[in-house]
Amino acid sequence: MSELIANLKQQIVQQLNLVDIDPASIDENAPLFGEGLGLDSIDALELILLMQKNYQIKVATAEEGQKVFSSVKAMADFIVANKKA
Amino acid sequence: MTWITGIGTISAIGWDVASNYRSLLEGKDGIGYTQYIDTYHKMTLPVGEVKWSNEELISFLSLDNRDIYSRTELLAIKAAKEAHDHAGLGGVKDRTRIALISGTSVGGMDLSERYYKGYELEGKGELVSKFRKHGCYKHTESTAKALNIQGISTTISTACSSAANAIIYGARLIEAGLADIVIAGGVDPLSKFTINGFNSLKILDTEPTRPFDDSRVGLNLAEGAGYVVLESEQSMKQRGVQPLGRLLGYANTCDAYHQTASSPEGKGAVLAMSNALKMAGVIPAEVDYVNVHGTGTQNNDLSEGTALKTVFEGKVPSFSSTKSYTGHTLGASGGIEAAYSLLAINNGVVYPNLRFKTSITDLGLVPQQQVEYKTVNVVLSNSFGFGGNNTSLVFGK
Amino acid sequence: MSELNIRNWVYINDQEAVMNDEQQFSFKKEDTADQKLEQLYRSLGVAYPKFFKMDAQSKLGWASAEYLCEGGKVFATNAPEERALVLSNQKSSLDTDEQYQQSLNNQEEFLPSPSVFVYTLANIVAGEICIRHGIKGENNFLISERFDAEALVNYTRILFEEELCKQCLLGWVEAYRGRFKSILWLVEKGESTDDRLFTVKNLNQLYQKSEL
Repeated sequence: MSELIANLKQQIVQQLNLVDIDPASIDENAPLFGEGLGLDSIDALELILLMQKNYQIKVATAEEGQKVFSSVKAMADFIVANKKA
Repeated sequence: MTWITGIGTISAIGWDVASNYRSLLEGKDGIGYTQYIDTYHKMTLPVGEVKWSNEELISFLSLDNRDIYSRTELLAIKAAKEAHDHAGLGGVKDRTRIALISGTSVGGMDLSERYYKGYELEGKGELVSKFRKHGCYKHTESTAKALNIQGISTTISTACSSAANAIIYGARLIEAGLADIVIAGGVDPLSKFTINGFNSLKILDTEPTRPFDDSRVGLNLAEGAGYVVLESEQSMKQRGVQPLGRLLGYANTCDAYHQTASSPEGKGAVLAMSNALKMAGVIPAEVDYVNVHGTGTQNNDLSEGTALKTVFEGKVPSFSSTKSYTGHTLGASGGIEAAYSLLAINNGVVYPNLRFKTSITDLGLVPQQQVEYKTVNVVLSNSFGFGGNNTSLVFGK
Repeated sequence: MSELNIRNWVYINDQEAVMNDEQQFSFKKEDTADQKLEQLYRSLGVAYPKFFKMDAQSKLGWASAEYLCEGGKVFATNAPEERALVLSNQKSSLDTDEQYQQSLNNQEEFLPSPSVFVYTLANIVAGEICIRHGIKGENNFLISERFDAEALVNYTRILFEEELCKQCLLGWVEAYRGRFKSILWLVEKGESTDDRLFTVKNLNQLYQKSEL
């Protein structure tokens, strides 16, 4: 799990062009949207792509994305749950 | 004072102004699967496609069929010519006093994307010539040439408010004495580029769109062109032509909030509508009909609805989104909807907002639901674009 | 109407950034456009992480406006609705259109990027500048085959005559395939000197000077 979380942080920084953010500094339990990283609705759509590209998991709508992308930890949990299924 | 003496349009609901008007009254939308674009989404995403092929357009316009045309050029020439002829501009001798201002968001994209793969594979060769039609300004040049317009000609590209901004610019040229007559409006073709782009933004509906309905999920992408002929009072009197109405006021503002999303309170929209009404010297209670931007996305309709309630202090007049008929024609929408607004004024009629069932929660707004004949003296028409570019036009008798 | 004065001007080309006749930054020839634009951003000393999400044309416009507006100081006396923006270029958003088109041609991995698509419109750079500097007045984007000082001057003059703005940013912004060029003016009412008068001649002269 910790490896998955570390990878996810790397991938998020890369996918969203968070150039001056150190992946390790992202708190996996902190909300991804609304504060901290300053992400917006387009970033949410990019995270949908990230899930599809790196984990072959489809997040159908932006609304579903809101739950899945609430934090890095939530994303990791979603990946684990959907990979086993 | 800027008068309107002609209109022209082609869209998914009709070849010309008369057939567009008939569809509006009959409640017939033009949304369906594409006949002409070989897209991955051709059987899943309905669009508002103009029902005539490029070949049919070329033949109708008597253009040289050995040349290559973008659909953008063909749609633009078709609709601008209709407006031109409607206003009887054929008899105007001094062609340098006629200007053409046209808006588009993708320019000749439909043509370029057909050849782009070949271009990449083969490098620069004969294919280069096919890209000379790509530029946004190209369709404006071709239209000016086809209609022998020798005055100022400019192209505007501000996404979905392009045509409305072209109309503003045209009116100013007349007010500043830089032209007597201006053909102003816009055009956009359907393309794989925009279909995939809007799909990646997850704002396309897989069903015909439901603007201002609580269950709305997105827009239907569409194509078309719409132009109006703007004319100074002096020129109109000299030519002895009857006006269709006046452009009473206009305003463009920037939401300065996000590249694509509208601010939740619709600040830019409020400012555009109230400034346009102020310029028109019209109080909100005098507005008989609002042709809303109404794309059918979650974000636009909520934001625009909130803005409407603010501007009209809760007493919102009859309003509808004619994008429920045509789909969203992007850079053309302001031109097409300007024509619909003038038809509303001249025929004393307002059009329904198709497929509306339930008001948006928290908003409680009910759009016009059937064709209604009534006196229409003042129409407000909204066009809001990505980049936070908000335009409102006020038309009157 | 009283005179229109060019308060500030700036141009940025592949070699340098120049504001009001003073060089602000000079680029190394061997650097890529991406590197040059990032250096420019760093040199401005502003924390604006959003910069890295923009396409080259928006980065260029953003950086040019940063100089021109002296980090926002020039707007101190006017409300957001009194600031206008009129931009122009020839290629619209072709640079990013091509990148986006490539992702559509990728058959193995068909994942068109929403964040790239957002920048496939000419006026997105205008939107970015408006967001950064709270410009809520009129904004427009004109496309023409070549730099058209007359159209820009006409358009801007009318905005002032109709009292739709007290300050206007205007000019040309274009980035394409690793090359870029912007030239922007900040205009307001007031006393002026010959070389700062807002005229077609002065705009054309500076444009010539900025050409490589």
